[in-house]
Amino acid sequence: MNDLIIKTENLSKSFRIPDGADLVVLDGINLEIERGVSTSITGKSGCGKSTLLQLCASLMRPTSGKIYVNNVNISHLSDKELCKVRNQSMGFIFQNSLLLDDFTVKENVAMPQLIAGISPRVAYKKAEELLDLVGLKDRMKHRGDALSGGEKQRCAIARSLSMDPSLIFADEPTGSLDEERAHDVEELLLNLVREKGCTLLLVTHDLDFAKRCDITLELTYHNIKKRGEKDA
Amino acid sequence: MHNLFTLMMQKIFMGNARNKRRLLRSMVLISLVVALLLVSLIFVVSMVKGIEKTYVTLGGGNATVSLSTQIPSSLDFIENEDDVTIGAALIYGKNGTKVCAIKAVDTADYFNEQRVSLMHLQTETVDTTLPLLIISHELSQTLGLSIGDSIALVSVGGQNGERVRPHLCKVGGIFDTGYKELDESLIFTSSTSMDKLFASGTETHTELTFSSAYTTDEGVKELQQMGIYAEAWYNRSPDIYQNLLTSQQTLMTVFIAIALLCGFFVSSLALEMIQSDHKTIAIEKMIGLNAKRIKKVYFFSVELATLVAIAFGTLLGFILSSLLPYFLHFISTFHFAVFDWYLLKFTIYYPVTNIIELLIALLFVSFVTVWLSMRRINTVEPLDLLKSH
Repeated sequence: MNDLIIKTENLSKSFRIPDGADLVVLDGINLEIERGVSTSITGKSGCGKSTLLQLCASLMRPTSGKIYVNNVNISHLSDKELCKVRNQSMGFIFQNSLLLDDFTVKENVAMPQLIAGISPRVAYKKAEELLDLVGLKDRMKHRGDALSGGEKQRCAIARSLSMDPSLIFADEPTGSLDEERAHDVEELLLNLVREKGCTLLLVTHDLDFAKRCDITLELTYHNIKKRGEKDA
Repeated sequence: MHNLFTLMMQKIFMGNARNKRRLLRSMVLISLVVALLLVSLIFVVSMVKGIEKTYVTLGGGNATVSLSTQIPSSLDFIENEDDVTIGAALIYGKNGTKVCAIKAVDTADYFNEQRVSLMHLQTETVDTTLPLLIISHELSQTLGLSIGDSIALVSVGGQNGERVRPHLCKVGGIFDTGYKELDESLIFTSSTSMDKLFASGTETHTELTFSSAYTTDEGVKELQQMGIYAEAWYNRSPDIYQNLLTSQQTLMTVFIAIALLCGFFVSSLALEMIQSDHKTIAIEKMIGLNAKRIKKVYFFSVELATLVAIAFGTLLGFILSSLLPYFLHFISTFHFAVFDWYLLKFTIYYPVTNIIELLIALLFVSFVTVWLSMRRINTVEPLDLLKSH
């Protein structure tokens, strides 16, 4: 059996809605993600796939259940410890790339390393290399808000790889792009993830994109099942 | 190449035009408040010192001793030693009457360069055998008198004020200290004239004026150590002293209250910055920057801005204060009634201790309130971004 990088046990999440009732989004989910494997999660709108990704990415806390990342139960870590986990072992790409608008492209990419305390010289050099890799070397002195949608996503991919993380979380990374740009970003993301040996957890509506991952999971209400697996 | 701390601070200050405008606006406001507070404080303290100086120089010296007291010549902090006689009289002029204190001095010694300059004394030779009086500009206006005019004086003497004697005198000079309260009830005359005006009912003592290096307290203490009983001016005139002290303390309290409000205002700037940078903070948290480090950056940025603003405000305050004498001189030429009870001619005195107290109060409140407002950063969640999108 392969090494598991993410494992959830009876993971549940509910939200208090305005009328005071609890809305159960996830209930008793057991998920296992193998290290170095790209996994996509599909499902109908509102089935909780983004919530599942955000729980695994430590961006929210579960109502009950456990989440193991790199064999550490992150459900009970403090905010400070979670920040460290996110900084050192996770990269994020969302539909809206969420760049720091006032920072330059290079500073955006170097940011996770600067947060980790890596020297600015090393951090900026690595950022330049990554920007070269995603084809944004000529835009590195521009501000984050000056980039087009596709460029922002490429910058977000570069930033997500900045700390050589073991895990990349991508939530609809091509959702706001046209078909051509979306295809470019898909290619870039999957190639870089394979090249760097990262684990990718992708949430998408795009079934074609989902099928390009090693494993495709489908989330239905209270249940997650394997829908397909690519041959090695 | 910037490290994380300086990079984030740079973006807070220079990141976008909106932030820059907000910061600049707040800094200008803080600077102006600090400058105006300092000018007001310096004005009030200088005026009180000026009144005190006027009162001490012309009213009754720093301290008084009995006429028979022998002051050792070794006490070099005593600048002037004047024997004076004080009596009360009713003055009749063209336009009215006034009760005044008549102070008899040895005119040759008493009106030295320092006093003449302080009281802006104008004298003319008046050919008369009548007693000459030096009245204030204030009194000359009230009674409609000028130098050389005749003036009727009714002296009040006797043990119980039962001996009332009218005299005809001449105005021999006019002075103007600028301190209305003193001016309107003080008249100088010579010791020889005093003997003609008052047969009894006067008080004679020696006034001691100390050099500026000595405070009244220090001088009196030194005299007492030598076994000389000296009464400080504020013990002779406790009402005036208490008025000055209360005015100064009340205004200082008001100034500190304004400084505290200014400190609170700084925290609203911090909250505005956090609100405006909500997205940035959420992204920073998402990629692993913890709240404590974000707080530190915002706290230092706001406090740095506050410190710079305070420094500019202090500098501006000192510059404006140094121009106060010209401004007050300009104002005094208009004779506004509202300034009648203020001394508009005095030396500028910088109350360093009070200024430091004021600035520390402002800084302390801004430190506390800004640090408390940093708790808002805890409520910013990376998830807020994803929800809003």
